[in-house]
Amino acid sequence: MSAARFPHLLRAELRLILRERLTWAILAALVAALCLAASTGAGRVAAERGALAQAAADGARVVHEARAAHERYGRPAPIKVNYWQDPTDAFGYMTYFMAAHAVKPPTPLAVLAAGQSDVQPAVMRVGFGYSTVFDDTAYEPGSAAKLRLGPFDLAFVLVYLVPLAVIALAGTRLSSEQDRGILRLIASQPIGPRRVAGAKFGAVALVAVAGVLGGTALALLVSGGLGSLDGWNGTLALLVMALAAYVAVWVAACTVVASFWRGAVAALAILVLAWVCVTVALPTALALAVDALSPVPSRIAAIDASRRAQAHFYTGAEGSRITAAWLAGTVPEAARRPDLVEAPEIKRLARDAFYDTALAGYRDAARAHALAGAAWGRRLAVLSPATILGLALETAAGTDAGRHAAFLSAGAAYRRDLSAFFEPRILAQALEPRPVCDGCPARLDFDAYDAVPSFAPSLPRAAAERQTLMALGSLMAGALLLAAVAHRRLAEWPA
Amino acid sequence: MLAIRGATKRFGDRPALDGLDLSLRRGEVFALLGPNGAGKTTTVNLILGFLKADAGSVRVCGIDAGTDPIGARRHVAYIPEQVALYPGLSGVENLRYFATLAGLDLAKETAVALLAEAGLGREAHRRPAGSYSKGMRQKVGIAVALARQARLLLLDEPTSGLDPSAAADFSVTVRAAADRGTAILMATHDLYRVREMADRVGVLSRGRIVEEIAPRTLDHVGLERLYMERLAGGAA
Repeated sequence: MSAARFPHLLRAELRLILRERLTWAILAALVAALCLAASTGAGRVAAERGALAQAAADGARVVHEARAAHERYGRPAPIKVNYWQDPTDAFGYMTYFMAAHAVKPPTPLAVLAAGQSDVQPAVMRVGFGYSTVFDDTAYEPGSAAKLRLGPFDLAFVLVYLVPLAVIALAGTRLSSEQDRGILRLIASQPIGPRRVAGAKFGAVALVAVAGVLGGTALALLVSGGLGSLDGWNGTLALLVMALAAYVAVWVAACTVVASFWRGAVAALAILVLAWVCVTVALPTALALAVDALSPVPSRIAAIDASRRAQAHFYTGAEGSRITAAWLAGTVPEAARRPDLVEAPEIKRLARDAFYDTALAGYRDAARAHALAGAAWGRRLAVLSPATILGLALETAAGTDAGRHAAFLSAGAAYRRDLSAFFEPRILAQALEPRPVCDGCPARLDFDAYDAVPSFAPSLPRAAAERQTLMALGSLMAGALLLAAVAHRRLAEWPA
Repeated sequence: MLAIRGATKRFGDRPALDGLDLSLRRGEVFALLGPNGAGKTTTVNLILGFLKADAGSVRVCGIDAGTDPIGARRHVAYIPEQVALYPGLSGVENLRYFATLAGLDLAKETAVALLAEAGLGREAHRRPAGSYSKGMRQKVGIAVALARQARLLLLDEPTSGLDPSAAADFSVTVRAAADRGTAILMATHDLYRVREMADRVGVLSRGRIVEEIAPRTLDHVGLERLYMERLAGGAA
């Protein structure tokens, strides 16, 4: 009698698994969850794309209306147009009309993970008619692990529910045979436990990987959330492999637990405990560690500083003194024009510059915290299979904390670009007003609408590929390590 | 077929086997009689290679079960007291599955023929094994042994829980296997079936065979009396 050939064993185990009603029930529930999650993601992506389109439309409408105002105000009229009503004036346009946006467009794989996008905006209005302490208008971002418990997206299903499905499929293999007494008959055949476990868990891994990947593909197809990949095929392929490796990690964990020979109930208890540790406790601990390594700067202190700066500027003649100093420093030749100090646009520019200086330290600290938090999050994610896969999905979806931190910095830089564009024009007009036609109601000193800098959005393809590759490597290493432990432990059948 | 020489096995301070000697020839049926804890299951575990002897040797068809358990199991078929099968699979599917584990690629027709040979009615072949009685499950176990053409058959309490008719059927099947040359080692408490099936009986007490009997030389009452006397002697 020859030794059992592994492909034959694998086929036999596959037949066994596919004959079980429980297998189909688990796969059906998983596919339903994936479809529901994909529709959540698709809805979010659609809303985000809609917001971006709306922002672009707003920008175009404002320019169109400003040009119409130019034509209208270029003719003498008996009315008087104030600067805050005048889009033909550089200061008026910059402060009250311009609809400039810093945008964070969804990536082609955005349907995969909501990440921080449900609390972090993808579009930021960048303007000068109002003042904010921080680059964004959101509240505390919080940790991705905590946020993920909110949106029922694909990342939630893949990171949290897929392990449960794998445990349901594989967690009692061998141990249920042990409980039912079948193991004794299996063990009495001329075959070792390693080959039997290899076939049993190999078959369940094939079923689980096919179920997860097939279910995800079906869910994406049905939801229609996955757009044109446009160069993201590589990232998607890596993600597919990382997902398969994630499933393999959990199947390998089931194999290790089966090697304890403690029966089905104990095996399930151990595996559920492992699931809690890996998907909930460890990510939460890592999030706390990130907070400890990169402490959150106090927003209250920043808001307080903002109020102090405001109070200072508007106390007595302090505003005029600050404006005069700013003007002298910015345009030395303005010294011969003391009247400019009280010009609203000059006072506003000086005030904004004063606020910026007063709050620079707080803003820098907030940006540094966001970047450092994202960096620590990336470093520590490797310690848990759940966090490393979750981060890979978020990075591919473009909804990760790192991208958002970079987006905030880019938004702040964009604001500075806009300021640098308008400020010389406003100052030039203040120093030497451009003549307009007799009786024309507006200033008509600005029509370079097309020259206004636009925001250059970025799609983090390279970062996504890098992160997914990192996840794939870590998960494969984890699966191999667990498989090696199981192989070592499964040397003999239990007596 | 089977040669156990001076096999000793201890679990902590407790000796389970204490220099057991036992040999079995082709076509011979040997019944191992003994109370619970006498060492019957340990003997079976040593033969199957699930345990290694602390001293002595266990050889199946010349292969040391301690150092090459898989090699030894190639020649052994084992039918536990409770034959448990995959309840969702039919008898045919269960048989083909266990045959695959043994390295056999059994055709469906062959499996049907083997089950029939083991005495499982054809109407049961395609029914889920979850609906089988203990006797029917044992017949599937016999069919696995037949499929493997094992030279040594280990039976652990084979007739416990069987109704008299099923037990009689089982006896016939076992005898037929012995007549085909299979050596059979049976661990049991059932003195009635022992007398009917076994060529030799070993009374196991405290890990040693304290008496070997040719059961057909005694009637049931005599066999029982002898058994009780030997156990009392072993316990003394």
